[in-house]
Amino acid sequence: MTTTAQRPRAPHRSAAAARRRRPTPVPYVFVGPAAILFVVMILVPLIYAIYLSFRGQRISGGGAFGRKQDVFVGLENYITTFTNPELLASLGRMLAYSAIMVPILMGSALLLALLLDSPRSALTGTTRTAIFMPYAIPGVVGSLMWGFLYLPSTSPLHWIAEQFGIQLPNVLGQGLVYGAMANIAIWGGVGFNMIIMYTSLRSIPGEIFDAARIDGCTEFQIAWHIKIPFLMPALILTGMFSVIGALQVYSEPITLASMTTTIHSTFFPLMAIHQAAFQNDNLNLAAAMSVVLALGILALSLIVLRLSQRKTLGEDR
Amino acid sequence: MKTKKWLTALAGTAVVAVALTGCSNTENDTAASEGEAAKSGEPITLEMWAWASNIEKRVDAWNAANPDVQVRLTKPGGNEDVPTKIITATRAGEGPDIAQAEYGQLPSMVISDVAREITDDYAPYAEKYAPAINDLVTFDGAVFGVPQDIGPTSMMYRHDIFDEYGFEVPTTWEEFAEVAEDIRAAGDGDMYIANFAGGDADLFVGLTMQAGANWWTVDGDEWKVDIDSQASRDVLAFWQDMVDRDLVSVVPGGTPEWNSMMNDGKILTNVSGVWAAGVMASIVPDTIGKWKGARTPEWTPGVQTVGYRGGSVNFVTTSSEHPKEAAEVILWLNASDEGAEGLAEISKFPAALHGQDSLSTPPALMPEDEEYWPLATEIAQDTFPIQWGPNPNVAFAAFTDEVGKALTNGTSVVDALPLVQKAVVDDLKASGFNVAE
Repeated sequence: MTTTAQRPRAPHRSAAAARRRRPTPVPYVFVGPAAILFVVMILVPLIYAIYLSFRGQRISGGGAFGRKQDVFVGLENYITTFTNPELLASLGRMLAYSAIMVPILMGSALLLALLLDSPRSALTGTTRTAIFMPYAIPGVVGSLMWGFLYLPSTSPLHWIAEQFGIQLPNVLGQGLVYGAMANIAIWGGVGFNMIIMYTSLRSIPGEIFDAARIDGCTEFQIAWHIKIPFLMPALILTGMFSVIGALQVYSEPITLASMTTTIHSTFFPLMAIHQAAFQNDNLNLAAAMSVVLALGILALSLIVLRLSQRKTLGEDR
Repeated sequence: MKTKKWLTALAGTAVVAVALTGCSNTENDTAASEGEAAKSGEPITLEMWAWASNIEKRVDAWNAANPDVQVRLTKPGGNEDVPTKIITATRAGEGPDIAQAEYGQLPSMVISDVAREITDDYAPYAEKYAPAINDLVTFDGAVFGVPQDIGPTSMMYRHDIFDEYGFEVPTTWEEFAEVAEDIRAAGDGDMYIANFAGGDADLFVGLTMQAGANWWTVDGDEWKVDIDSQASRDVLAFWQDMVDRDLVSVVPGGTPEWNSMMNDGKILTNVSGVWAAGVMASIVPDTIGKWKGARTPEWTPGVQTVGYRGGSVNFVTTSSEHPKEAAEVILWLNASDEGAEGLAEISKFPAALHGQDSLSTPPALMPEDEEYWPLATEIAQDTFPIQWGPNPNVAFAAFTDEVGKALTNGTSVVDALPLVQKAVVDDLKASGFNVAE
């Protein structure tokens, strides 16, 4: 649930088969499972969520103890969504968190991948596994563990620092809390992103490097002028996943929220949605908020993708 | 450009899927309960959702004595999300037959048409309860639940440390603040009289009631919300002052940090419901035997009346196919003499008067305090009648958030009250209730 819950799939080989003259059932059989899953697991719930978002539980018959009934309320839930200052504030916090988390995650993953790929590094296999390991730990478990490390009264780090007369700051306090959450996400996600980049680096033909070295390139120049441009597709892919992961941040804050008053129950949009649905018994508002959030992330993803493709892939053509 | 299409599709798919999990979760949670339509003559099985600790012992006792009406207990974890779970499941026709709710949650169960009226079944048992308790389950003259346990507020204190330093046990909040100063000055200066767990709205409803606040009142068919009242402001201002003068610790309640402070003797009192002594033993095992019970400090010297903190009811759901039997079960479990005694045995503070009288074993946290339960029974006789509104969940969430924000930002927690008031009124209006201005 951290930054990179989705593993990349192999790209479709070619669309040529679909364009052949004689239609055969084969393509439909191939696409069937994916299509069925999409319809059952995505499309139907999505349509149901949109339906829910236009309805609401309203008291009928008056009286202090009237009964709630499910009625059509038009755009009311959407109006509530857009006029709720707290929800807008939570969107702001989410963007602030993303702005901290994504660049550091991507930067450190890239740095680690390049270091591991450099010819002079040793113990690469062990290191790779060690860096990747946190990705295998469930986000909630990781968050709990980090939470105990953060809390001054339970943290061994605070205890050690105190023995030397140093007072460590409470990272769960205001301001630092973004870093505290980003740290957990980065810790969990850096290995996954690093592996993607590393694998991509290994597939660069060795002759290119030989040629560069003959031309007098230093390892740094090779990394900067050859490896990183070659890595662009992998960087876009992992960057995309990281952005989406950051925008969906949930398990870290919800776990830490029970340890500090800094993170309140509507700190991030997904937390606000959970609260609306499961504490305030307002599934309809939660559905409207989900639809808005999903559309927002989709739009943002498309923009990021388009910009990055124009900048990088476009030049290759 | 090929990658673009599948990336986009994948991205969009993942986004929507995650955003929607919030809506689809509940459908899975109820899969376990399929209404077993009993053919006549065959034994029936009632589904029961209850989180009360040790309640399985009482359910086992019922099952052993009633082979024809078996109860299958499911313990939903925690009780924060449970009300919504019950409401959602019941609307879907997949709810349990019997459920548990806190007193504050019962009105929303009634309004959501989840709790079934049991007025006639309940009538013979009404005399088992104090009138104020009967009022808690009665709405517009109809009864919707059977009270299980109650939590009049009380205080427990570390008698070993109080004795060691010669602190007086405070009987008024004024004395409480004075003793707090003594405690800060004593020892290594790392002890506090209490912790201000600002987020604990449930407790503060009780504490503000003690000062005369009524968060919700019904006037005809209108709701009146008075959360931002003078009484509430006084109570929060008192605690804000304690926070400002560093006389209380400020850590979120129930956290590892709070647990370790309680266990290490850094927090010397705890104001909660009388049931707390039953459940605290497992949280602060190092301090068993070092606590004693006392009355909550008074606002007006000489006025001992207190509010409630916690306590819960069992109710029959509207989706139950065997409402008659379900009502029988919960009346036996909570209201019958046998049931009330059984609740006392599992360290509940029974709502039924008979059960309160039968409490003989001191709670696990203070095994030698023979006075604890008799004192609790005495406290219970002097409580405010309480009116819960339809949306305490909204009030509690807003209270926790706003007080937490004030503590984080260093502003006054009193400023949280108008925001909570507004959140509650807005929610009532949005749901279509008449709200008096």
